[in-house]
Amino acid sequence: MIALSLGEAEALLRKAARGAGRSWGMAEECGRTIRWLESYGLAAMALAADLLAQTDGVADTALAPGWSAKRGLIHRGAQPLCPIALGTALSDHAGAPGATGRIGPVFAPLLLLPHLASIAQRHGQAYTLTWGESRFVLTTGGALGAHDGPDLEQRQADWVAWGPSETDDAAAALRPHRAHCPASAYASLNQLAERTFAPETEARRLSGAGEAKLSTDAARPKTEG
Amino acid sequence: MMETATTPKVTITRRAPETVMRLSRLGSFHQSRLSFMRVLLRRLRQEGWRYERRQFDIDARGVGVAVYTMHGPDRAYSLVAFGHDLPPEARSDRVIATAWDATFTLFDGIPDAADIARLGAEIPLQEGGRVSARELSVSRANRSVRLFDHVVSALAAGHQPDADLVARVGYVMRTTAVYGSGKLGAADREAIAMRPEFLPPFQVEMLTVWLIRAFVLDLVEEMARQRAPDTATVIAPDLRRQIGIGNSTGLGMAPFLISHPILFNNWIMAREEALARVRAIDRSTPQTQARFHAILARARQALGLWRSDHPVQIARLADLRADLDRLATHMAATDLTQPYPWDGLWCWGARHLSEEGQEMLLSLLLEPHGDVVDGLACCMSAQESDGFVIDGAMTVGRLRAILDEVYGWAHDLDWQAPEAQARTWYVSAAKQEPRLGETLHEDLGDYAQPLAPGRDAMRLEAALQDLPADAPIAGFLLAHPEHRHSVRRAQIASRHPYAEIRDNTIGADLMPIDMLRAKLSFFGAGYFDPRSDRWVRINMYRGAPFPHELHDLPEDDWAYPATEASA
Repeated sequence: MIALSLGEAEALLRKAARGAGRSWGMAEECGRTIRWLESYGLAAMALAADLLAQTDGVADTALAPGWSAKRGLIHRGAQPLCPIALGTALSDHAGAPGATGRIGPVFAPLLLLPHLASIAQRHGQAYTLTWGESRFVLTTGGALGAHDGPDLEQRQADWVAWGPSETDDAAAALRPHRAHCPASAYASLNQLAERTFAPETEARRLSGAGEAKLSTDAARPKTEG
Repeated sequence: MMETATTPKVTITRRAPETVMRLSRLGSFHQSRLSFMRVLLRRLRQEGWRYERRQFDIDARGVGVAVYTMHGPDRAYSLVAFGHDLPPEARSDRVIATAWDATFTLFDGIPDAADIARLGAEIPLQEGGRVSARELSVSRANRSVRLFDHVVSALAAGHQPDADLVARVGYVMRTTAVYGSGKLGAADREAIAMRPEFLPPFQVEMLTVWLIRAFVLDLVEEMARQRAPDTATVIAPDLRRQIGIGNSTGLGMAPFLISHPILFNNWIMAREEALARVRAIDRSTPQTQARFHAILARARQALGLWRSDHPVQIARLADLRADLDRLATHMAATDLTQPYPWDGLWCWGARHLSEEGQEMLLSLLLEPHGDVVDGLACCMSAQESDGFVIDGAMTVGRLRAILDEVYGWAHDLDWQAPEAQARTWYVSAAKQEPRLGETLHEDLGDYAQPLAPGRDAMRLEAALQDLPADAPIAGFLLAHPEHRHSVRRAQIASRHPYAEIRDNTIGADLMPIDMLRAKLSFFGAGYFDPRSDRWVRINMYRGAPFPHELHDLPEDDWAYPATEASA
């Protein structure tokens, strides 16, 4: 396991998602999603690495739900929904508090949690998210509540369902402010992230950072601060 | 505020974002009472933080370990410094990316021997090493070729370094990076942000640099002592204090202002609110009048120490000198006992001074008014995630209105013209750092970073064109995820007026140093000396007290050097 700060985990996921072809806005959502989950000690990085590998190069829109005026968000694609695309769509379309819904199939349903937590906070209404034998409460404080998740690391669920929760107590979660990533997932995320870096060419090396015209004392700067 | 029939009331509002958030003005900012170095030293002094040099095992070549601890009311923090001896060829004008003269970390608490052993294996490697959540920052510094050896030799021979050379260079070591906020595995800001001492922004980094400066001055004196124990002396306190820490800052810092819109808004908001508060003061006191006159004299003196070889900055410094001369002449004929004297002065400055001069006047106006402006420092941090969630119920019509208001300037640009999109921000594979490429000459399309909010807002506006005004944007976002980042920024900017730079960040005439200077001025850096359009040399803590004398010197009185004539 590689220990990362949450900032590093978020930045890595943002770059990896962009490298896998997500739009910048969706890549930002990926970073935030993983940061939230890892801050609760939920093993999200390996799931995310797996999700990005499975959806590498697929257009955002093909991974997102569709919208039907009658039925709301619907699954219409050939493959399972991306949980982050679904989560942001749920968040964007969050109507009146207390709505229930069910949709599937979905990749890595754990990655939906932060989005439902955000809705719970804005609605002042606790929600539950369930799939398989797993059940999670998201509180009005936007936190993780009571949870029982034998299928935590499930890579795909036939369906997920959500609805109002009667309990609203935040779990006595340890917020470790650290993320942990298996070495293989870390390597594959970095491979995706590297796609966002422009290969060095001689012209770029000379011009990109602005070689000093005058060099008396200071060396070339490294970076911030 | 209440209006009364007897007192004519002047209505003072904060300056408009369209005025403040232009690159040329942001690139004219100066340090002020709200700068993070000054905020830090005020707190340490007011709270009685105690300084302790716990360890100093440094040999004649500057090699070894030192630990500097500041003890606060509830917690202690320690700079762990590692001195290295680089062969001369590795300490040339170019940084050899794996070797530095000294490397540092700020440790959360007091390190024991095992901690120091662990850090000794990681910190000298910098990016090549990993730290833990016990570490708050990672940094390194190189010696000034011009000054370091001179100071050690002079002290070893028993005399003071050449004061002119000290004034010209201003530092004996310069940092080349100060990493905080979770970089290289260090503690995330969220993990420590609730501690009162770290509530204002960048306090970890500022504390790191302040302690580095203490170490560096101790280092040169110790090297001189070990070289010539019989003759060596130490630097006279006044001259010693004139030595700051140098720093070279490049493009890596520029995207920060764009990627932290709420934080940047809060910095600007605090500064603009401070100006508005001072302008709204209806009567000055003899004390504030005297303080302003004294600070103006000292600022003019400090200007003499500010040198640059960059043509742009040379011209601006000439303007600034003329501005301060003009201001001094104006002051001689100005009666500060009149109502709203500071507003009168500000309005005069807006008519008669260059942008550099106006922004300097802003800093000077805050100086006598710590009681009304210093409290704003606590409003300068931000929880950037607060702006993250998009309001999908917002209508297309409302979003269009926001785009008009925030990005109105972008309407006036011809985005099809090559010069409007002449530059592309990208991250290089070699250094994994932000770089700026020429859009026409380099094939960077897929590598472009989202650092052109104005251009992207115009693309968003075009995409919204045919949609009904009452449609919620949730549906649009489902079909057009490529605009998601722009919608998020627009919604943030609608709630935070100073969140967006209202200028083209990819234009042919972009000077990235404007972005660097805006940020560095909030740190409290001074003596900006651009070395090209994309990197700038600065000085930090020049004139500031050292940790051992913090409580013996006047509070927060170091930003402009005091002389006998002006003090």
